[in-house]
Amino acid sequence: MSTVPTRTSRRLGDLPIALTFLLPALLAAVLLRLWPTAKAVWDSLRSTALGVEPTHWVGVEQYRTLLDDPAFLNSLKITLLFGIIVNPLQIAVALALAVLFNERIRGAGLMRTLVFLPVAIPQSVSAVIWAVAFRPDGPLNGVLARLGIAPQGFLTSPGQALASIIVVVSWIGVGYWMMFLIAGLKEIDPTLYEAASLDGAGRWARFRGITLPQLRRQLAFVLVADTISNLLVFAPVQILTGGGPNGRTDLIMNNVFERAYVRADAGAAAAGTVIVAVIALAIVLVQFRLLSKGSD
Amino acid sequence: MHQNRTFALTAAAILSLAAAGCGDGGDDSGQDAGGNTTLTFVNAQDPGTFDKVIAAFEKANPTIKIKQQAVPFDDLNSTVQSRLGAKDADIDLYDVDEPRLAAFASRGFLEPLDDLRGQAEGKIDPNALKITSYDGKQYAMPRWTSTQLLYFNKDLLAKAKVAAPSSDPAQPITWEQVTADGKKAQDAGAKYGLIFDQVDRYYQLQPLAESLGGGPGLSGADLLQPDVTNAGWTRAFTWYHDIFQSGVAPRGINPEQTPGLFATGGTAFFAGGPWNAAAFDKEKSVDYGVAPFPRFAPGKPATSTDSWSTGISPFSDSKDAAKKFLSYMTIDAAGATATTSNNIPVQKEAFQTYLKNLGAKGERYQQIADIIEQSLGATAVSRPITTGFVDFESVMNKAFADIRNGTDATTRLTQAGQELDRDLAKYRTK
Repeated sequence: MSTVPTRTSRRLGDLPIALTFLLPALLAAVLLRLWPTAKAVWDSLRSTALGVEPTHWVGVEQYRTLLDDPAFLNSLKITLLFGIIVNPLQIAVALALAVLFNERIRGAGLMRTLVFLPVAIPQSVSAVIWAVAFRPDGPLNGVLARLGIAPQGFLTSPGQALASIIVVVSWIGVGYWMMFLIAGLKEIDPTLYEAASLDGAGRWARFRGITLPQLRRQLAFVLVADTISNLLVFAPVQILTGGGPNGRTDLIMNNVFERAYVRADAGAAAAGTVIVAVIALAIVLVQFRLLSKGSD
Repeated sequence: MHQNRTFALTAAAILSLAAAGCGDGGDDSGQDAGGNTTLTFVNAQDPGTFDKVIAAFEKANPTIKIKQQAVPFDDLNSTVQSRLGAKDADIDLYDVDEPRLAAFASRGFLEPLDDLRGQAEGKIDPNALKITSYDGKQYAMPRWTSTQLLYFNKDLLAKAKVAAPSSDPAQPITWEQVTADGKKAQDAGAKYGLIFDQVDRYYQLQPLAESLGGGPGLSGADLLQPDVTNAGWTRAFTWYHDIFQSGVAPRGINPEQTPGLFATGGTAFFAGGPWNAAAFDKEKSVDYGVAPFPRFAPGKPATSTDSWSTGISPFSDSKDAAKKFLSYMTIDAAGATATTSNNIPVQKEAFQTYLKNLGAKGERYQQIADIIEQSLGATAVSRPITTGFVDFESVMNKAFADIRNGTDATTRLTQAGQELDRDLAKYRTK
């Protein structure tokens, strides 16, 4: 009998090895992604466990109650407002800085590092630092006083708290997203710019005609990733305002966290999580659709 | 080739196991082969708090070992709740924040301890036993209690030519006077007039409304009806709003930062607990005096109280051993003294020992001891014992923060009342 394996058995022979090597990744995906998602959906349809008695089925009633709760609706509204402002702002600033630091100007490397630096600081640490800066008797108001401007409430003022949170998350976010865009800029073929210059295209025309279309893939990634990460902002809110004043910074993740870990209302928290996941999915789908339009 | 494949399979299998996070801590509870029992005690105290009492207990009971599991305060309730919800037998004893006892007891997370109550009668302060019972049953054994007092900066008041408040425990100064004197001190150079230790926590602010007859903020048979818009509450929190509005008290400060503002010498008055004194002693920049916790002029004195108790899990395998330890820690005079640490014990003999030791530390500490004795006996108001306390407290703490930051008190308390009406509904139907 020949010992040379046939083609099929050789193929099958590799399969167990391939599968075993894939197993850690598959296990991780199931344990860390699929199982929690399924559990959140299941929990969201059942009552909150009040002790040792088993929970019972409440179905969509959970969602109805949640969407009827003015506090939850307020947090959806605040999250929407936050998203509408923070995402375009961060991407525009990151893009402007990326284009600026990509130019051959003196000190661009150093500036780039300085803008990127906050990324290396954990969000919670930077929130603590900003808490001191924003204190009514803190350094920011000290600077304003020097300039003859009246002291501001910042985090304690319902009108300024959300804007203050936007400053904190952008301080970190802008540098991070900028690095992706700079990487994209480096990949653009310089001859395209040369050709455009020869054709008499100005700075603005080159930016619109070459930089933006060539950067589309990186911009698409940054847009989607930034939107999702801003939808999930939590630590700065929890540390700086706890959702206040008057619920004006109660972003959705803070609201869900409080339901789960302060009030121990697991059912409502799971329903909130499912709603966040659905919103995130919807945003990603719409953005991909928009970005794939007009592409080659 | 074959060997390579075997190696690859083994490597991949090991990786998978590692990724799946296998491994278990092993068996912790119950008896081992030698007849020894190990009890697991979950608490949120500073390391070392129970070292003395555990050492003394283990010496007297060589077959019982106590293993501590310390969790951060903020995580204690959720940890206990999730583990007991899964009927985890690994927890034998755990610390119960007294206002949360009703919620735990009603959910079946606490073993009734009526036999221990019998032993405790006459030995433990009856108020402390009352606050740890629910529905007529004893569910945890009270360990410590707490109170509040007023600290003042002698130099700042002298500079403003303001008379220092009396340290006579029966003669509390009024909040109106504290506000006026604080303002004068600010005019004479103090940075702030008055700071509360726990600026937006119900524990410290409840007595403001209680002083004006506003009650705890909950009414009805099960204390599940919000009552935070009555005249007492409105008046108390309008005053609270105004001290921040006028700049007597500072906005935007966390509870963690408040003692520091008094300790560094820039603040005229500080409302806090006896535990703050140790930190102030370390700072040479502040010469301070103590007075009883203030009251409102038209009202009566009222002070915060209560602290930690310890309960036994109904799922524990070693309830008898756990009861033995709990009894030693709370009912036995020597045990309760060893458990005192920096807190006020509720065991009567241990309490007297505590006051004596405190008074021996000097004149100012003797005044603190007198204030503690008077306030615990005459003016203490407990937090409401109700299954809805956690929701109530979290709604109120947010309201206090908003009022401090400038929201009108009447409007915000009305809103809090509506939120509570909604949130407490789920307990009313149960």
